[in-house]
Amino acid sequence: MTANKTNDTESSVITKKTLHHMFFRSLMYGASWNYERMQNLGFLYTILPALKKIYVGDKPGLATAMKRHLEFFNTHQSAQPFILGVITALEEKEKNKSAETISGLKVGLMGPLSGLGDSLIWLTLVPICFSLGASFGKQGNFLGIAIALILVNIINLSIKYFGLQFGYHSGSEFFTKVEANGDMDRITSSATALGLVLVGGLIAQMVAVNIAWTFKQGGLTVSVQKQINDLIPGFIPMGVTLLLYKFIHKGKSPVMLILVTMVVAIALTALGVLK
Amino acid sequence: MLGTALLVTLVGIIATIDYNGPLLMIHRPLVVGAMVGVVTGNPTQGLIIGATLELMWLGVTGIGGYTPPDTISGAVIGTALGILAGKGATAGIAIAVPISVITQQLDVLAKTADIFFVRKADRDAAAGNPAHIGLWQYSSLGIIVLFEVVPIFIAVMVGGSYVKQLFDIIPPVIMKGLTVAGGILPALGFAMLLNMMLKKGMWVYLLIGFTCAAFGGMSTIAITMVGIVAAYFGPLITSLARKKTVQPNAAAETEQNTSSSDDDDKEDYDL
Repeated sequence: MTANKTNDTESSVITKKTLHHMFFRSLMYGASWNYERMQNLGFLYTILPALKKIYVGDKPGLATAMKRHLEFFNTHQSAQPFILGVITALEEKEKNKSAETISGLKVGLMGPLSGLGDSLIWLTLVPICFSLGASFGKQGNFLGIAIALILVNIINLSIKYFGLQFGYHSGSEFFTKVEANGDMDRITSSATALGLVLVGGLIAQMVAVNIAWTFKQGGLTVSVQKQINDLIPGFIPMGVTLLLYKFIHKGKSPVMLILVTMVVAIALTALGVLK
Repeated sequence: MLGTALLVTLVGIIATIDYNGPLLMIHRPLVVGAMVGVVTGNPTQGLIIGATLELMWLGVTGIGGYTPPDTISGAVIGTALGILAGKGATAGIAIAVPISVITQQLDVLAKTADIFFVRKADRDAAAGNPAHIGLWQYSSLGIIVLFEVVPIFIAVMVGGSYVKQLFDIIPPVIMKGLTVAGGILPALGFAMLLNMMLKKGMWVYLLIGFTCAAFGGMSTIAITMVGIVAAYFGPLITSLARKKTVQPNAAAETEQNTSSSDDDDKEDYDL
């Protein structure tokens, strides 16, 4: 809020209300994703409340700015409000004088931030929350959904809301500092590490491969599955997962792998290997 | 039937808007499955189908403009028909997978068709007229939603009875095999995640989590705690080590790079 005051000394036209308006618009940011310029219309839609105030009474200026924000743009949804904040501050300060800087900064920010957003949100937060939710759900327990949705949204909506505020007030200096320190890489690898620990645990918990074979030992029927569970628990699920990983890594299509898995599972069940 | 089909379609609309809008994650198969379960009168069954699909599709995300299998219509139609035909989770998964692949193409079509509205916006921008930008934004969403939910409506309207007949003919051994496949398929979801996450030297984190669960019998929440500790110290140590010995480490890194494919194999023995 103190940062807000320092900006206000230059008689800012972007009020708190404008930023809130932009935040709500940024929630519908992805609605016009297209194969030509991806999130371009979405970006213009979200920054428009600011542009209208900055270029008030300057129609040619507004036209130039609107055209600029219809250029190609694509980033992670949760990172967009931060970029929006940074760009809004720059538009307010420089207007059309620094058109190239504005466009350049947009492109410069969208790449690294979508990488960060993907690893934080899509590869960490969502898998963690929803595998947790699904593990409850598989037992018919609705609590998992509530936990997953609350957790995801508290974190994700905060990133969006405070990202926009922070991006507007002090974003550009912060970003240059973070990138120079190499903090960005560390945050990304921390997120990936956390995700991997969880995936490792979930493979053991969630993947079910049950061997149907049994053998007789001194009048006792011994289940192969039980032996495996006692000696090397989770090794078959991990082995299957790593095998599938190898295939995907070599570029096999996931859809084909699903079908192959189904066929193999049916065949092995029919042969009495799996149950 | 019409009433149910409309309600299921409504779930599809909500999920599609969420996926292309606020991303509150109510478009995830887990939530979609439960919602469809509620409107078709069997919430628990819907939840279980949704949970199974969720695990299978955990690694399916639209990263970097790539169009993934359409998990929304897959989950909606699979859950609805699985429940309506009275065939449960096995049928639900068997339906959801092919559906998600077929409808994937429709999403591409919709997001090509909406370029029409981008052109409209271009014209407005050239004239400096901001009045209709919001209209074009939401018209695009309308197109995307339409392409998503029309197949859902049709599938639920006509599919229910056929699906029941179809699954009545299928021999029990195949149904049993599909159930077994339902247990294995989460492995594919994790494999897809690993494909994006497993970079050089990172497999040790996978091992930590695996050991905690397989040998320690720890719950997911406990593993998350362990993960936070590992994620805090691991990269910190690596970056400190890198700062200390820049030269030898760089050499080691390239070595690690070339043998990275061996690393994955080694993991099996290390366990």
